[in-house]
Amino acid sequence: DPKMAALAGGMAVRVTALVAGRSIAQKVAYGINRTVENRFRYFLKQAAPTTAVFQPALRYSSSTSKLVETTDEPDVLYKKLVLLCKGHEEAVLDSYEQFVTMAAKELQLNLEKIHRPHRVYDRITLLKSVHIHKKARVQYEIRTHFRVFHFKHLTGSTANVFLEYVQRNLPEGVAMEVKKTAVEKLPDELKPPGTQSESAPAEASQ
Amino acid sequence: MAAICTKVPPWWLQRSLLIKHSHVRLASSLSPTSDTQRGPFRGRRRREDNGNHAPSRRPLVPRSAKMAEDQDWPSVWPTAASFKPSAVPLPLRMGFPLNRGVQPDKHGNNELRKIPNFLHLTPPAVRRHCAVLRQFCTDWPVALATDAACEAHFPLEVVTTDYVHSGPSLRHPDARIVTIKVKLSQLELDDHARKKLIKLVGDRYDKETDVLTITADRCPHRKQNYDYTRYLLTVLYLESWNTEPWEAGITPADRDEFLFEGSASEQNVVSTIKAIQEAEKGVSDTTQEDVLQNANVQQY
Repeated sequence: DPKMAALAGGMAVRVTALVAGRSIAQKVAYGINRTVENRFRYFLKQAAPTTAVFQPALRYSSSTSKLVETTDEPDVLYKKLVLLCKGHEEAVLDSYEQFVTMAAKELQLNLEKIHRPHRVYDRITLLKSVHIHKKARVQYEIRTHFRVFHFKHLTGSTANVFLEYVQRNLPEGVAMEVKKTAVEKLPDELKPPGTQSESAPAEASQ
Repeated sequence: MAAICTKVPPWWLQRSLLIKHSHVRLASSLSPTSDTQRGPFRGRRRREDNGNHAPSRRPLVPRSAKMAEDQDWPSVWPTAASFKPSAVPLPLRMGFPLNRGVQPDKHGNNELRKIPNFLHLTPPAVRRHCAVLRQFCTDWPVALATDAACEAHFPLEVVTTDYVHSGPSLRHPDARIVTIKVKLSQLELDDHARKKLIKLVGDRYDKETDVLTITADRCPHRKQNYDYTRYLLTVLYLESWNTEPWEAGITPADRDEFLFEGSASEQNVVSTIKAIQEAEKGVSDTTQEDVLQNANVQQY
């Protein structure tokens, strides 16, 4: 009996659906007078019975060590990492900035500075018509907004992980340039010729 | 459920339908009648065969109505996906309010579908991703905490650029460019070598910061350009230590600095002092070296 069902909270949804297309008179006949409240609520007061809140166990917890490979190869050292993001929509760049900041904080990276260069509107005026009509023109513009993230002191492994994460989640319509400043030791050959073990300088004079 | 709602027209319409179309026999959708056995549309799937889906109508109960407030959102929206109004439990509005009205709501809203959404990157989701990614990160060496320490242990800086872009090709032409920066104070150079090196590199040396910058872009691959910059650095260094035989023939006009030794000024000073001594004593018995060692001359 729909009337009885309507009283139970869990069934309210289904019954409301049944009568959704009906007129007010029909709704009265079904005994549902409070359809408005149920139809426009986004969260029901008594939610339909769902499974227990999904708490994902870290599936990798037991096998984290198996995923990580260590090698003897020395890690590259990046003194500076500069991410320049260019997009046509400022709101998208704002959200992306929030995401990058969150990710940097979680991975404990040194995000020194975020600077927002002024936007560039590239405008062009063209003739509207194929032939003559010089006074009739049409104007277009391309809007570019920028965000620059300055990171400091990252190792090669960390940089690879962070960049891959952040680049995979780059939204549509946004481009990125990553400028990496790695620090290295000088080449071994850079010693004064007298102190070098090899006798003569390699290059012929010219 | 759907059948009850959509097949039967509303009661207030049924009567008018019966009056107007009572003489029409409704063809059964399941069996082909004589009308449908021939003609270009025989064998075609009919819309009624699919159980009367009406895709333009909203589902009567949106999925968002069944969502609990404390649900696990990253499970609902795990990856980037286009906006689905029935699956997002938020009262969003987007668009221009026409006719002095309100912004259009989320149902059938093209603007909401066009713009990228970040529903898959909520803080709990990012936290979970980073918790797993942290195992692959390594720490920056503590000994290199300051710039000075970095410079002392690793004097060479290599600057490269990577590009994430969309275009007809996967490769960006500027990704091959490699720049090397080194401070000359970090290199072992004597006076002559330093001056010769600065002469050889020209504009690539910055006097204020004492930084030599070498950029290579002549090769198509980044590794080739990197090897080329290192080769250039080595060659410049070794060449600057080399002294060519013709370097001895440098004239005072070509020198960077004025050298007192062997200059006309020195000769003038010596001859002046000798002339003074001759005028006083008659004979100059001091040698040139003694003249030069005189305190006044040194100060001059």
